[in-house]
Amino acid sequence: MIGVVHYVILSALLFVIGLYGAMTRKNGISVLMSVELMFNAANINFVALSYRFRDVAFLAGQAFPLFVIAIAAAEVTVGLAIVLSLYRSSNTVNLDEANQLRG
Amino acid sequence: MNKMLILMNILLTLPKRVNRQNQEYRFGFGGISERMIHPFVFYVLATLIVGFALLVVTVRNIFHSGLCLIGTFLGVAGIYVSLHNYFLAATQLLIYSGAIAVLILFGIMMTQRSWSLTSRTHNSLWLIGIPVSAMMAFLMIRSALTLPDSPIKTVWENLLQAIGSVLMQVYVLPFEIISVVLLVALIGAMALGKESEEA
Repeated sequence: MIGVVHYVILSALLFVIGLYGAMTRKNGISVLMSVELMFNAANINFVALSYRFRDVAFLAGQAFPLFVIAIAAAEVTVGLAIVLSLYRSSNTVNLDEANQLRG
Repeated sequence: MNKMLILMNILLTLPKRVNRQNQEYRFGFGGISERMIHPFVFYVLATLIVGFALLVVTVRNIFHSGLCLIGTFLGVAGIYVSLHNYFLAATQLLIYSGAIAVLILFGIMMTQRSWSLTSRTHNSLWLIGIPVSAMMAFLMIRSALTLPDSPIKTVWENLLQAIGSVLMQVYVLPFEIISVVLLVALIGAMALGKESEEA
């Protein structure tokens, strides 16, 4: 029987993989992709754990990933614009070379 | 004066009205049927998701990593289908594996150079990253195992109608704020992405 715990473990694995990618990748776009993995893990948690509730709490868990998806779309748009302008100004997308703001 | 009283009355009774309508969800929208996913399907989807996610964070060629990201999104859409939320699965397909993946692939293609295939793609943080991630996974899975395992079998017949009512009644303020956030993100992306004259 596949229950809520299976989904929570799957989302934990997905989140941890995204965390590892966000920590170790040099490329800015790769970091954005890892953050997307973490968003997806959180969404799976929302939908799966909502089955432990009823009525409005259940529907909130089912509807909240829509907000997360909208925020993720906005985040990717702005993030990619920042990476592109970084590429244009200093000809690199590696985040450890982007240190113009360091005092 | 009379209009103001009516307005105040509406404002004061609004929470009560919302509450009364919330209780109607239990009976208001369709019936509840029972359906469960086969374990084999779940394990295939989980293997696909975790495998593609591992490829996303380890593959050296960043374009291939972007293609593996689409695989992960498709697997997560399948997970939503297994959770009986078909609208969310369709949204995942349209926005994640449609729009966001294409946006990321275009970003990769616009910033890739010939040397980016040969240079190092990971920094030296993996020494910290692997233990921290493993410990995080251990803690999360251990706390997940303490949850009481409730089966996923109740299917709302008119889930989309119920979600729409919740969005428009209980969560109408976040719903409107999201549209402002999207507009601000659109303008911000245009302002950031524009070629500046002095550069």
